[in-house]
Amino acid sequence: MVASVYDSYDSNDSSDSYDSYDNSDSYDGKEAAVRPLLAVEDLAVRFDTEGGTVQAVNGLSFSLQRGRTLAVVGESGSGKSATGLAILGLHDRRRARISGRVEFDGVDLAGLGERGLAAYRGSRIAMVFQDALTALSPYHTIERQLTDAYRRRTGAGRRAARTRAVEMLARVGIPDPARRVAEYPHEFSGGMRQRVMIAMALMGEPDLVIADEPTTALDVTVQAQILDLLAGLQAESGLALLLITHDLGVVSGVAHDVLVMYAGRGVEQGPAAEVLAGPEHPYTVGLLRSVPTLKGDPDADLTPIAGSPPDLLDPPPGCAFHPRCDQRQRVGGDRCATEVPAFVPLADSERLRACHLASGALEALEGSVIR
Amino acid sequence: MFGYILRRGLGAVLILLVVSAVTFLLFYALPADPARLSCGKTCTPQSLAQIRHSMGLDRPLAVQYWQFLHGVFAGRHFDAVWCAAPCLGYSFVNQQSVSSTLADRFPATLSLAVGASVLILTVGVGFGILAALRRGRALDKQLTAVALVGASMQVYFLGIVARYLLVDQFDLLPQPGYTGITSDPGKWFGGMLLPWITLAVVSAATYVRFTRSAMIEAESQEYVRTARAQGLPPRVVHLRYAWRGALTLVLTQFGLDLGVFLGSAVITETTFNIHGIAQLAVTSVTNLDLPMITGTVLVAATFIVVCNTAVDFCYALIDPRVRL
Repeated sequence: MVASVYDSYDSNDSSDSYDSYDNSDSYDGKEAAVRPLLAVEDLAVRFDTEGGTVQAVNGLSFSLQRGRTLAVVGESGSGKSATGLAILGLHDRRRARISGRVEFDGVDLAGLGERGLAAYRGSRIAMVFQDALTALSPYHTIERQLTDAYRRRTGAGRRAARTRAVEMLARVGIPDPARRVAEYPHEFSGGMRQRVMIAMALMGEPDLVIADEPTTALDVTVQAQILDLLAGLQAESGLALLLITHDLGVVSGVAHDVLVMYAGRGVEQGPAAEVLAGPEHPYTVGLLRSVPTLKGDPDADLTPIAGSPPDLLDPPPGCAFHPRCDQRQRVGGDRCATEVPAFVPLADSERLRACHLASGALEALEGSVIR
Repeated sequence: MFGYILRRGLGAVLILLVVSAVTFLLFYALPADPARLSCGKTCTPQSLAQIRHSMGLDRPLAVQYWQFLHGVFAGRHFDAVWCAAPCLGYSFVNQQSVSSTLADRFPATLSLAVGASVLILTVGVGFGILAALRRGRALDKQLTAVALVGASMQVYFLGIVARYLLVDQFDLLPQPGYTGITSDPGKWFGGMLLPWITLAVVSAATYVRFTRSAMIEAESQEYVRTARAQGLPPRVVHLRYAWRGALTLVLTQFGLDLGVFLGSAVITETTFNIHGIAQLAVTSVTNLDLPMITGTVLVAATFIVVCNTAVDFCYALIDPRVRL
């Protein structure tokens, strides 16, 4: 039912691709369920700026199993991209201070230096960035950019590395890869360029792919193709996917789980279908209301969330969302403005939420909007 | 590519035609009479007319210019003297064709420019990259401070002081001066050493600062982050990926500076007593040797046009998005 709302994103047959996820769910069996591939605990990312310290990520925790897709959702400035970069320590070390644990396959990456991290970057954890035009070097051929790190890591020769690059380009659906591998990024269309980025991520057979807004720079039909590609690759290789996006359509199409972020904190988390069907946080409700639907009343106005994202140099006290929240009157006293709500599990479910409002109060209220 | 070379070649010719026409107009159409100047103090009307005729000044300006162009491409006569193909005129002051004088003087200026450029680029760019990679640390601050001192130096000051100390007092470097590279390479190198170093200290400083900021700018590009995300070691990330982005900026600056270098060559050549084109230009102006002035202007213009074309070619080599 949720999927039907976002039909436009499911270019093929959505039920089919969901089946493939179910297969990959059992990919790692019970062991993976015991120890997640990635466990982020109390992650904080701070930037020292002239105006003060920006708390981009503030005490964030989540985990991700092999073969699963976790979508991290939020507006710009919610800290979702900062989270993705922090996992691989890609922030500028002069400016960013990172604390907390980033446990990947039993190793705390947050405690590693550049050299230690280099062993994970590109090989076990790969990144796909938003805008492939700026994220790929305009000065080097695709071959060079795909094989540089690969050759260094594996000691492969030029020819063998090239062959592999061509294979990866073919795998992500780039026509005539043997010829195109010698071209430069500007010679590719936007969608093809994003495929190149994904091919680059696949060069090292990673266990985890962090895709930071991989479809934002693309038009809608190409977005669907790229998402299908990522889902297909996940089904093939069982990789875990951390999908950073502001687009709830993307979430409903490919994610198993979703983590909604606001002002550097998690505000709602749970299985994607459940969260989208019955959001438990006013911010999630606001996000869903601001997405156009195909099945809804075509004349109905979209309802954007009032106000603007908080100033991270000077975040509001209490719940960071409270100045924009239309439900705060329903919470007794002035708790929303004084007390930071804990990010705690909801009763009888896998879901977590950070809100002072009683659980279930929103579902009855907003159900009609979502459906 | 070949279309581009053709276009650039034609463009260069056009620019030089315009430059020559403007120089021609400026120096021949002004009230000062070249013939009168060449004639000297004991000038009889007969000899004045004679000189005027042999310089071609008794013809209309357009005809004179046409004859000048004809001389450039096919040579021409000045009375009994035959001036061969790239004939830029005949200096009545020196009793020598302009082209042969220029040919004598050009190698000295070229040696100065090429050697100094090599030093400036290697030292300036090298330290600039180093400062960028160590930004905020002690080395960066020291380099930036030294660069500031260097940039506020002038060739004539630093050159004279260095010459006095390093050459005259402590005999660490040979006397500056130009010797033909073919006649004695060792002496050529020794004589150019002090001028090169002086120019490098003064100009490399600018390049340290410029390269530093270009490199910092390039380091913030997203593709550099991608290179890091792939697990490439810092050396490769900085020197292969980031530097490639900074290189275009540095090259642009260098292209612009070539003209400035040529202008400052007047001072450099005078300071180190090198008989190059720039010094020739100065003496020609002092002697009001108009054909020679035209010649030096044209050579300088050609030099700049050729260098800029070379820089544009380098762009295409560095950045594949630039289509020739």
